[in-house]
Amino acid sequence: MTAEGAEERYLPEHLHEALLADARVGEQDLRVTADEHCIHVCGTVATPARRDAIVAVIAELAPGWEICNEVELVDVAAGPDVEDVSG
Amino acid sequence: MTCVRIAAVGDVHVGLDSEPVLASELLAESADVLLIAGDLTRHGTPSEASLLAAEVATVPVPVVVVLGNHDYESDASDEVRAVMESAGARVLDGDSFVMPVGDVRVGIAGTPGFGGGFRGASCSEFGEPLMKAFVRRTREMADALCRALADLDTDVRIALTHYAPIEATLEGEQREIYPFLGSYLLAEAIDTAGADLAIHGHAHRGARVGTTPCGIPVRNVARPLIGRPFTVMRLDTEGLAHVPQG
Repeated sequence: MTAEGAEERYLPEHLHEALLADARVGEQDLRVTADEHCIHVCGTVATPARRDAIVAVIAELAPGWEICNEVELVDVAAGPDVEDVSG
Repeated sequence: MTCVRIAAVGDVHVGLDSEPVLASELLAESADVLLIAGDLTRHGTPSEASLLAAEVATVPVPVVVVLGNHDYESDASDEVRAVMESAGARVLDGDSFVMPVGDVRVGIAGTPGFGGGFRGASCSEFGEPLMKAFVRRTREMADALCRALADLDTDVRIALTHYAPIEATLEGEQREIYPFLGSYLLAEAIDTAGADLAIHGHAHRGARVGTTPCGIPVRNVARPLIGRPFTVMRLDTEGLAHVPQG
C-alpha cells in the first residue's frame, strides 16, 4: 500500500515546529490545524510583530495555502488579579 | 492467491524465572514468520536474552524482532542483540529483512522507535539539550524506518516497531503517559514510505486496532493485551490486511 497525501496530512505538525524554531516567531503556545483550503493558527504571542511573522513563515513553507491567523496578543497592560489565600 | 500469515507478539518480558513464551509448536502450522515487537526481556540482560534465544532456535519459521525499552535497561543492548542473532533471529534497527512466502516477497522494516507524543500534544526539539536529544532520537529512528520501508521492493511491506505510531492503539492507557508510549513521527514515516501493515507493542493496556492518518492498518500486539502467545494476521498479495478486528 502506498500512502497518498502524507505530506499534507502532517503539514500542521511541521508548521508548528517551524513556528517554534523560527527566530521571527519563536512561540510555543500556538495551535496549527488545516482543512481543505486553509491553515488555521490560534493561540497567543507576545508582540504584534511575532503575530504578523506567523503568516510570513507559513507562506514560505506552505505556498498557495490560505492562512487564517487567529492568534491573539498577550494582554500585558492588564492589572494583576489578586487572590486572598489567607486561611 | 498466496496469503501471508504474520504471527506477532510484543512485550514477552522474559526473565530468569520465566516459562516458555513462544509456543513454537503452534507456529509451524499457523504462521510464515514470527515478529516480536520489542521488550524481549525484563531487564535487558544477556542471560535473559539467552532464555528467549533458546526458544527462538526451535521456532520453525523466520523470527524478526526489534528491541524495546526493557532491552536497554542494563546497558547491554548490543549483547542482547548478539544473543538473539546467534539463535537465528533477525534484529532490525532501522533496516529491513526480506523473505519469500510462496511466490510472494515479504519485506519487514523495523526500528524500536521512541516517544514524543501525538498531534497537538507532541514534544519539540526545543529547550534543554536533553529534550532536544529526546525528540531527535525519535526523529532519527523514524527517518531510518522511512528509508528502510521506501527501499523495500517487495509485494508486501510491514513496519515493525516497539513504540506506537498512533494514539488509537494506546486508548486504555493513561493519556498523561502517551508521549512516553509513542510518536506521530513513526506514523509519518510509515505513511510517507507506504506499508501494508504496522505492528507495535509497548502499550500493555492499549487497544489492538487502529489506522495511520493515511489509512494504513496498525495493530498493537503487546502480549498482556492480546492475552495469548501470539496473534496471526493474514495479508493477501493485494496488500490488503485481513487482520483481527478485536
